Amino acid sequence: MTAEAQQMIEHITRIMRRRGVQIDENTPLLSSGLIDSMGLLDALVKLEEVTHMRIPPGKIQPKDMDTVALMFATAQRVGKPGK
Amino acid sequence: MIQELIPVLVPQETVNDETVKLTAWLVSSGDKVQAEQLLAQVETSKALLDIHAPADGFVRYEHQLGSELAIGSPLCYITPAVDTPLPRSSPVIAAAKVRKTATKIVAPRTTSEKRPRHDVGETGTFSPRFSRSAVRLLGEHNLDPQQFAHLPLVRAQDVVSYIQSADEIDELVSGAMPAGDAFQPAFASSVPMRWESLPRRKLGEIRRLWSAQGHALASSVTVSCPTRGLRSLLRTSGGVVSSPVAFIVFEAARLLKKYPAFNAVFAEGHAGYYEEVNVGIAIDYGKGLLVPVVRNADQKDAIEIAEELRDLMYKYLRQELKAEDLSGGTFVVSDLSAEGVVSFLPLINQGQSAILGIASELFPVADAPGSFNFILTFDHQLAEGRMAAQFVNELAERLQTREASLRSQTEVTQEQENTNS
Repeated sequence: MTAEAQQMIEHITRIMRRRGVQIDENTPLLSSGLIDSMGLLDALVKLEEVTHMRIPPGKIQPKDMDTVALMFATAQRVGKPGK
Repeated sequence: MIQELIPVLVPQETVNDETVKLTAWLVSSGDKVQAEQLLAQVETSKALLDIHAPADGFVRYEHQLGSELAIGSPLCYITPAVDTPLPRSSPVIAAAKVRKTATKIVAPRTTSEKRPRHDVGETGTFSPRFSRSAVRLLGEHNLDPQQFAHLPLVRAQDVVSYIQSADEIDELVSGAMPAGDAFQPAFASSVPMRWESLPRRKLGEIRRLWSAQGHALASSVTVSCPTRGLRSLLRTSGGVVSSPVAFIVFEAARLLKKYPAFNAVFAEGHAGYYEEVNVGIAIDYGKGLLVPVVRNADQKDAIEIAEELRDLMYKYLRQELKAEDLSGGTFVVSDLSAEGVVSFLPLINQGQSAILGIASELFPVADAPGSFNFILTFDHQLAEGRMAAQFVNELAERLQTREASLRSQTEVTQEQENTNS
């Protein structure tokens, strides 16, 4: 696992509704109810910070962000170098 | 000549301003004035504004120069006679209403280019390119004025934008707590206490909410909406609409056209009905309580609303919400459904007459239908409990229909996928 993925997992663990649940890169997040739509956007903002990319929310679907692995794939696909 | 008195309300130039300063009267109280005649000047955090008479009549006022006046409160009145009695109360009207009541309120003209030199820079150490409010903020935050050397005129908003923090924006612009009996607390006797100052952002929030509570007779109704799990259905659908809030805003906006008393404001014995349905969404996700607005929500479909909500929430998290994102709300939805809340009492916002609360879905028995609560707090001066109950019951019925339709679509899609595989 990359350091960036570890950062994302730690951040998402902090904002999850259920405490004590272990997640990995392939754990479903929104579809399982671990995070809600606001949590998903929070994760998107964190993903932008970790990848140094700007990822327009209008270019992604919730299913594109359902796991940490999908988040990084989405960042590669639609992200642009940002501030 | 007018038949009734007309209040001339303090206009809102920027959403960050809660008050303006009265800097000049250009007429005396009791003077006969004509429509469009210049009456006064007020200073916002951004500019000086000219206030004009909305009609012929007699101007009447009591405010002294230098007074801090709440946005939406009466600056003065235009009366049909010089001795027409003035009202005692001072309602506060939403900014959108103040701007659009063209017959009563003349949109103020920005005259920053005419700003008198003595109004700029109390310390006298800065050039006239800085507004007085900007100078004050620079001092309070120990900022270097050279940071703004590229701007021709530095206003308070420019300084606030420089700091770029929604929390700090609220702290900077929030004012002092209003005086009154409501702030004369009683204490538990013989119990040791410690005191801590509240953040200015919180004080500003308190002030705004107190302003609304002071002019509304708040009442509330709660209606339970049956569900088989709308939240989980939307989460797993993978579509743009991943939360029930967009559907609730969509349906509520249409119902507000049918029940205009909940998209209104009470003032001076009158009901002011807003001609737009602009639904605010209360968000508090660690960066302060803010209420960005979906404008003309009654004219947008659920997908458009979901996309706009997504973009507003994204901007909230990035602290990129602008004044225009936060102004002009005529109704508010407060969603605590993700917080395990069964019920709560939403507080009506300034210049509005109702707010809808959304509580969490509850499933007392596993694998059986559950429910969640809608709570409508409303101004009893404009509506009654029966009307409020009808509004919320219709909303609940629409949501049930929506959920049944979505579930049916999802099941058909799953059957097709199973057949194909």
